[in-house]
Amino acid sequence: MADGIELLLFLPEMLLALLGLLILGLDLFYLRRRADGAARSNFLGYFTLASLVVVSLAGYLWGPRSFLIGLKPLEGTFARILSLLQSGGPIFGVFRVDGITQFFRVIFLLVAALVLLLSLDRKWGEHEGEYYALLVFAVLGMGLMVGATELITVYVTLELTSISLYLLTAFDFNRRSLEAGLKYFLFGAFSSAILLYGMSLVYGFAGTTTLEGVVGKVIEWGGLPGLLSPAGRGLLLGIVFLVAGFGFKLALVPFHAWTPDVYEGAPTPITAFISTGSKAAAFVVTVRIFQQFLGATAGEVRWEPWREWGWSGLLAILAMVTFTAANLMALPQRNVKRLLAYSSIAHAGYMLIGVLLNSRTGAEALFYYLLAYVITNVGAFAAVVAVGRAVGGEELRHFAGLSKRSLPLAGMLTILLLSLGGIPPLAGFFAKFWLFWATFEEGLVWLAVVALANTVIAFYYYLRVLKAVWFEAPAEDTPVRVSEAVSVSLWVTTALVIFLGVMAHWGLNFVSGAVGTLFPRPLFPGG
Amino acid sequence: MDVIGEFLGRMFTMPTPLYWAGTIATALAVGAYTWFLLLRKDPNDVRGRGTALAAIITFLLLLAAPAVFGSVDILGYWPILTLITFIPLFGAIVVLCLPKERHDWIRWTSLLISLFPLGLSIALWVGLNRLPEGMQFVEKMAWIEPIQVYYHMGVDGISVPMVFLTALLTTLAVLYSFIVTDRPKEYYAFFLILEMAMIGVFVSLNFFLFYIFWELSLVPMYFLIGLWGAPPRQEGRIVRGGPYAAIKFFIYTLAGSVGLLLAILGIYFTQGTFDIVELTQRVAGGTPLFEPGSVGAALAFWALFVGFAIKVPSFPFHTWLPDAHVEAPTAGSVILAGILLKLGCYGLIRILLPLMPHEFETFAPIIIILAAISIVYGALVAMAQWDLKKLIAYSSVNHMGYVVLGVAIAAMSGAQLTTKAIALSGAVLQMFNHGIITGGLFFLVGVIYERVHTRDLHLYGGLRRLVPVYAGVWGVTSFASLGLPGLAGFVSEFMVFRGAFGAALEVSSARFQLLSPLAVLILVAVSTLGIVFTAAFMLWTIQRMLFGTAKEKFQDLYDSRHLFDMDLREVLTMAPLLLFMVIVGVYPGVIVDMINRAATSLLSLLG
Repeated sequence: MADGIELLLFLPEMLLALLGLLILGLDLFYLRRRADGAARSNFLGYFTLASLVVVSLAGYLWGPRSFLIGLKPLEGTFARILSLLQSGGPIFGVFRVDGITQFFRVIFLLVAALVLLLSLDRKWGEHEGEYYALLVFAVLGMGLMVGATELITVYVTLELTSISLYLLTAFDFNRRSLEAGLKYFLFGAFSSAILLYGMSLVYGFAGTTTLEGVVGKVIEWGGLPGLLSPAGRGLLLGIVFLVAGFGFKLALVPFHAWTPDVYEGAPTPITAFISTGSKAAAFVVTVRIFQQFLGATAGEVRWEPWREWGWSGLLAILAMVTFTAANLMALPQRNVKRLLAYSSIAHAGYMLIGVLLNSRTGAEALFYYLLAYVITNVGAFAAVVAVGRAVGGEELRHFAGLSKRSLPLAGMLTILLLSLGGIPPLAGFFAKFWLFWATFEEGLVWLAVVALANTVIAFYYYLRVLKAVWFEAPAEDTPVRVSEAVSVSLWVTTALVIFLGVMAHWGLNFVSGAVGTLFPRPLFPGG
Repeated sequence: MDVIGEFLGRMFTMPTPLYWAGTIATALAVGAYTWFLLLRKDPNDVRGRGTALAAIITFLLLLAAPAVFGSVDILGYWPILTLITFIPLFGAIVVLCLPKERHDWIRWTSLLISLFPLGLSIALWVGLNRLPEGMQFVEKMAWIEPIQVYYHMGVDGISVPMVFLTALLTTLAVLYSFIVTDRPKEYYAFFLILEMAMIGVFVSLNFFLFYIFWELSLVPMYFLIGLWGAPPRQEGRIVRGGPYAAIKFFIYTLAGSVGLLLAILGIYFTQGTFDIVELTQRVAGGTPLFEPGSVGAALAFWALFVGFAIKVPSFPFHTWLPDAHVEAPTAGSVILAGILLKLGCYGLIRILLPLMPHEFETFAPIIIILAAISIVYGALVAMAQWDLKKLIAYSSVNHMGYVVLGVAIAAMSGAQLTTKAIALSGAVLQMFNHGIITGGLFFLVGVIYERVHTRDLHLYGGLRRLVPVYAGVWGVTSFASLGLPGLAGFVSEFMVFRGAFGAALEVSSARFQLLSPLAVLILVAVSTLGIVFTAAFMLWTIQRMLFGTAKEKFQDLYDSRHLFDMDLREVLTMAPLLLFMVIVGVYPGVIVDMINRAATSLLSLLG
């Protein structure tokens, strides 16, 4: 199989890479000279948007769950490609196109399309081409990240995404934005170093960087107890560093300090992208590394003997600290972007429960949560974009009386915030429901109790935004105009939030099929 | 797709299309007539005789439609509960699409829409009496099948009065709210969504579905209190007013439903189903949900109880109620007191009592104590109030205490079935009565508040001379509230106490672990004091408001024609409520028979 045909599995990613380069080239060599500012920006924006939609279609067709596989006419000529799609790799042991890759690839592309809609009306001055190209490269990194099955690949793709995002964060070119970009970069570099150190420890003690190899080694040592033996201790240390490294990327407390500043300083569309796409990608990688390959060392979360905790005990503590602290810190916020930053930290805490459960239901719940969260959060930021543009700021006082100035905008923001809080029958409720369901199934009732109590606290700050939107008097009475692109993304996300809630079983079936490939073989019985 | 297909199939496969055609034709004719009147009139004019006439005709025709054209067999083919539940949602969407400056279109559309659930709920009532005992008008479709969540609805004699009450009070609240000129579009949309959520709770037979409607009912109420309630004002360190009360209401009730969700999950993971009917049968068949006496059982019980008791509200969980009531707009208070409180009581009866009878019996003494405190304490606190709305709010705490008492008595397995059934029927009837009586009182407070802009009883007096019709209506409603024989309140309170005394005398001490029957007897006896206190503060209020001479401010308002008697719209609002107070008081059989059948069958299941 070494004739390179395997590389076809990368097709959507290849298209993306080409697209990024094309945008750069087109802008640099043609548009910059020929077109004026508005035409250039419009052309690039819509071109990228259309391309992303096309590539997302390709991504949808390209994987083990593609409907192409069952098609008779294709079977003769393309039999090899189809069987390749069905097996899903891994390509050279580093990249696997399974249900998860296929699922999230499409999600990221759609999120990127929504984010693009939010940025269409904005001008980026000299750097139009770079903006869209960087966005495409960030998506490329995410798409590769979710399929990576080897530590170096994980690292490289993570950096590809992160570096694109560092630059995008600074794209407002004002003091705030630049500061945010630098802060994001410094924290990011720092956390990458930690991650890399953890990976090198894993490599040093397991002797391989492929996750398949690592899992073999762990089984050889006898699972969790083996890690406590002298031979496995280095790997244990490596795992701890991995947790810390991913803690930064996922913005878990106490590794969250960069989040509010970066979210506040970055251009709002980019904030939406960081808080959804990059977070979801990091979660998928975390799930892959911890559940799929280090599953044997998960241990069990019980009060008594804590020595059997493994990484899931560590994550349980992190999760509880994360959502409790984030919810409390969100309470006094007066800037909606900061408030949403803390809210997304809290959501990361809830989602971490899905990782630490280390069960099929947990993974399903986590993926549904990611889906719901990503859509809802992009929508919420779309509303912030709309308000920011029309009213001129993102403080709570800018949201005052919004319902009088634009009822549809206020209504959609309300639905999205209620979904973030978890009111049935919206997507956010079902996300939480599946998660607590999975938690109950694993017998961690106390964790569900703590998390549920937290959702009540969280409501207080969501209601504060709603209070401003509905109950407070507006500074001026002029209607708020929402540009078409932004309203499209608002309508789409709101409709999806309702649809995913009312038709919750569809979403779950969808996710469940993707997870099917995550637990293809029985997990190691030790631990 | 199959769900929609099945739904459509049921809609169109009927033995006689007459009912279908008749109802739709009636609705269209009435709608057309009203719109015809509306289009001729100026916007914002609410007191036209013609439109009022149209409303009455609409009302009567729609009430008559099911009875004239329908028969029970036909009703069985209709997804009638789905229609009752979701027509208001549809209406809310329609209202949101109307132009916001046409207040009259918005008002009349809302009123017309709200008449549909009312007419259909009367059909439910009529139909249920002709059908055999048990859950009727059942609709069951798969929703989230992997986890046994079904779209499962059905009603029995306990839920039908509640559905009817919801539809009635919502219609009246919509009619009353014609004076609302501040953003009526959103106002009516929230009202109709609220109606959907409340009816949904009363008809759900799947725990999950129940929870969804339960949570959903918080959202519109939050906006109604915050947006159309009292404006914010500084009081000490707290900014009180609508927004404050709205957040307090929301967070407080949400905290309660967290326990509810945990208990629901706990029950699912021991039993593998969310179906309330199925669970009830299992428990009746001798398999308790949790191991009796285990910590899990106790935790699940208290989680559910606290979740429901917050909504009731029963004694230590009542503190959100006065705030919410005082700050809410008039119609919001009516719905809050009239129906939202009933959601909690309904939960106690439909879920806690049949699903955890053993635990309920074990903890009944504690609940009886809480109920007794609610009754006496609520009445005493009400007595100390000078704010008219707060007074009625605390009287709600008192009245809901009777409901909790009745349910707790029904949980005592040692008592005879008839005794328990009397207590439980009394509780359900009390829910209904409290809805019409206290709902009426809140309407009346609203009526006077709009004219004089104060609720401070110190300033009141002599209304009897100034506004005689109002004084008469207030008098009747107050007497119904304090339990005068011949009016509704008396019947239910009597039934609860008859059941409670009977049970306390019948129960042998061996079965009651935490409290001796004698102590129960004493507690019930103490609770009867609540009736005395209620009578006292209601009479004092009548005295302060209606009798004596009018204070200067009131006289001035009267002279300047700001204080005038009830107008047609207000009389129309109060008339159905007064009618029910008298009918239920004089001939309770119209409703008690239905309730009693359901209560007896529920209790006989529990043994």
